[in-house]
Amino acid sequence: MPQPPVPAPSLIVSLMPLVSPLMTWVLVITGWVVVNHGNNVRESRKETRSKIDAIIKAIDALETKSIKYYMTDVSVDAQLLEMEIKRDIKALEAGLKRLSLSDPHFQTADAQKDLQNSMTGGDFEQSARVKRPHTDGKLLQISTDARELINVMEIAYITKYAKKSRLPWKT
Amino acid sequence: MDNSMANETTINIVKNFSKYPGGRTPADGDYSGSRFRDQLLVPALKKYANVVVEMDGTLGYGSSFLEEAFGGLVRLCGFTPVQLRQSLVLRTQSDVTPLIIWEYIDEAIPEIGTSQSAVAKMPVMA
Repeated sequence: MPQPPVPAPSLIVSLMPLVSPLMTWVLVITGWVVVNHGNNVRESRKETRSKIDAIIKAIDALETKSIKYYMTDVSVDAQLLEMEIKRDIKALEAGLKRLSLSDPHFQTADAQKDLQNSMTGGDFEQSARVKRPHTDGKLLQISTDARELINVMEIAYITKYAKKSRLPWKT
Repeated sequence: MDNSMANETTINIVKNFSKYPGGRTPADGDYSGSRFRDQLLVPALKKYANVVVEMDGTLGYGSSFLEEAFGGLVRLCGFTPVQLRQSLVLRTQSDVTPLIIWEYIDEAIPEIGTSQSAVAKMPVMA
C-alpha cells in the first residue's frame, strides 16, 4: 500500500530552532531594560529628594535669620546678618539653579524673586531702620514667601515623580 | 568703563563700583544704590545708546539696593521703562536679579516734581 506523502514542515516550524535562542535573549534584554529603568527612576527620585531637603533646610535657616534681622536694632550684629542673608540668598539661588538645570520641572525664579524682595526689600540695609515686633506684617510676609518657595518645589517634585510610570516606553 | 564702541558702554559693578554694594542712600553706606545710580548709571544712560551692566562677582544684592539704583531711574531721574528696555542690558548668571530689577523699573512711579531733563538728554536712537 502506498504511503501518504509526508507534509513539508511549515516555515515557522523550520525556523524554530533558530528563533528560540533569540527569543530568550530578547526576553532577557527586555527584562534588563525594565529593571534598569525602574532603578534609574528610583535613584533619580532619591537624589532629587535629597537636594530638595537640603534646599528646604537652607530656606528655613534663611527665614530665621531674616526674621531675627528685622527684630534687631541697627547694630554690628545686624550688619553681619545683612551680609549673611545676602550671601545665603546667593547660595540658595545657585542651589535652585543647579536643581532646575538637572531637571527643568523645577522653575522657581518667580517664588525666589518674591522671597528675596520680602527679605531684602524696603528698609533692608538702611541706617534709619527700626526693629519690628514679631507680629509685624513684613515678618509674616517673609514666612509666607519662604513657605511658597518650598511649596513650588514640592509641587514640581510631585508632578514629576508621583505619577511617573515605571515603564521605560511611557516616560 | 569700556568705551570701545561709540554707542555702547559697559559698567562692571565689581570693577567700577564695589564688590559689596548695599543700602539705598549714602547714609546707609559708601556703595549705596543711589550712589551707583547717580555716579555711574545716569551719566552712562545720558551719554550712550546702550548701557551694559555686568552684575556678577559681588557678595549679592539686596532688593533695596536694586530698587534704589534701577527703580530710582524712573522714580527720580525721569527715565521711562520703555527707554530703559531699549538701552539697558543686564548681564548676569542670575535668573532672579533681572526679574527683580525689571519689576522695580516697570512698577516705579515718577515722584512729583521729578525732573524730565534726563529724558530730554537721552541720545536719539537710530
